[in-house]
Amino acid sequence: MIEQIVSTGIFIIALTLIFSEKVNRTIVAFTSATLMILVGFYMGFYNQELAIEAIDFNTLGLLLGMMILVALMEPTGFFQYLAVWVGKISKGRPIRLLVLLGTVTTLVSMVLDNVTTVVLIAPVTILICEILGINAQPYLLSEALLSNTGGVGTMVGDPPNILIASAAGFSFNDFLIYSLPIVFVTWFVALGTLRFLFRKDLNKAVDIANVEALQELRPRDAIKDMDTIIKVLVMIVIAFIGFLSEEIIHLEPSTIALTCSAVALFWVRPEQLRTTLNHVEWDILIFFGALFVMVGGLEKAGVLELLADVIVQGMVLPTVVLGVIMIWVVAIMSAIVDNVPITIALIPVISSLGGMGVEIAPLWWALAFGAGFGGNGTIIGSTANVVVTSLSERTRNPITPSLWNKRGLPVMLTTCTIASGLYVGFYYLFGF
Amino acid sequence: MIIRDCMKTNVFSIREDELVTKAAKLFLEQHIGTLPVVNKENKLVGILTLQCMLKITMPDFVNVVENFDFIPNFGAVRTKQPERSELFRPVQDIMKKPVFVEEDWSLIHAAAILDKEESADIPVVSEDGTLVGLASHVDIGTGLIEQWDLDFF
Repeated sequence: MIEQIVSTGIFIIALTLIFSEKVNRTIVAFTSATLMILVGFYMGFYNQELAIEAIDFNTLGLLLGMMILVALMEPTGFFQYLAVWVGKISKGRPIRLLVLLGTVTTLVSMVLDNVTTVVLIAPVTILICEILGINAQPYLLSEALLSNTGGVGTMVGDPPNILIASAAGFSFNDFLIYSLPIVFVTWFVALGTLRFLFRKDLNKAVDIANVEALQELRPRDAIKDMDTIIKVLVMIVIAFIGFLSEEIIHLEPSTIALTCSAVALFWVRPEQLRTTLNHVEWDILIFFGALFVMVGGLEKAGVLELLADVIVQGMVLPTVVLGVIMIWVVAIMSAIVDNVPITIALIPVISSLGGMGVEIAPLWWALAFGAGFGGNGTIIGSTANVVVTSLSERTRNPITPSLWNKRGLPVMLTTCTIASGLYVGFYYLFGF
Repeated sequence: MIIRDCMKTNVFSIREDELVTKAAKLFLEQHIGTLPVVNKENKLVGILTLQCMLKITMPDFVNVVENFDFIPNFGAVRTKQPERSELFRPVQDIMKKPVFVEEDWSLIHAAAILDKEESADIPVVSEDGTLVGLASHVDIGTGLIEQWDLDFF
């Protein structure tokens, strides 16, 4: 019993510190993970070998592979090109601009890391809005909210999805079949909600002279390295063909991503390898690794089994109801804390429920929807939110927490409601 | 040669609690690039440069976009006028922290500071911090070159 109390204590203190944002989350997770090993070793429930076994290298490998591909793409100007290009296509019409920028950010973030996407597209958004003489807030907020929402649709669109896919054994195609249709509808509802919430800003007319200035932008000049763009795009396409045919080629997604990134590195051969590798988010990889080690400790101490027992004993609810409850509970938690620790903590709980004969496939999808859509709720709910907010703080119209509560929170509530409805419908019509 | 020998002593300065509008008029009328900011006792408390002033209407994207190669026309920001609230506030809100030299410091010391700070002029103060002059990079640079032995070779 004492092992369970101590390991749970370490985990809760770590989550509280991450939530307080007083100390960097990676430092908190790293310290707590080592503490878990030390305490576990002396109390006899955990040690280094077990900790290493607890790390899901499939998740880390897939993340690393995709991060290297993005790191190669980052300095090429490709993302800026896309943003400038859709800016021109919008012909300066606010609603069209919102839809196009939101769509591009979503589509790119379904394939690549959505933080990088937002980091590179948001500055160009600020630029386009200033040229047009309009407020950038609606566009920045929408980019974060829509990319969070769209990211739930693919296996590599969102870190929790990678974790869930690895734990549940879901393939890339499973996400296209079970998640993408629900996300597709939810995304349009989110867009409609944003269109309504920002109606005042979006209905303002734009000066014709400023629209002409926008039309003069030269997207091609934003591109710095066409050669690299083509090479990396080829490797990204090959990686996705690999993911799609996982069941034929029998390769783990991490093997596919790492192979493609290795080939891309060999093909591009960046002059400054260190600069390229600096773009890889090592802190996130360490954060994930440390969380795996911590949750591994909880598992070995018997905490998760206990938790699953409690859930099973108290569970008189049908799976679909449990799923809907899970969507909301996880969404609310994800709005307050980072969704990655929540996902990593819930994965073993769901797995142990599976061991007790509960139908768990619907619960995995509920976890994915809750973790993904919940991040829209607050200014700190997802990394993309934090990124657009901190960028907007360098402008004259910073995004404030109260603005986020007025615009982001309704989007979260709407998307979770719609997703819950579709989830129930999908469960009864097709089954997960 | 020390700073005192090359600085200008007839220097325009502005009090920290005076308005940005007054500073703007001084820049315009005197055609200068730097205004030392002083307190009631004429002690140096900051520096107001033309760059500080221009930040008022500088587009936000300048801070977040790396290059402007693809933007031939700045659109709405070309004719951007400052907000009233941005002009009617004390200069201490937009001034830079004071970087200065003392009047008996060497020229190369001043040149090194200018180089580090990437500024064009540097206020000169007495030992107790009172503003006594202003040295431009031209004053300091030519003062230094003057000391070179150019006829030697």
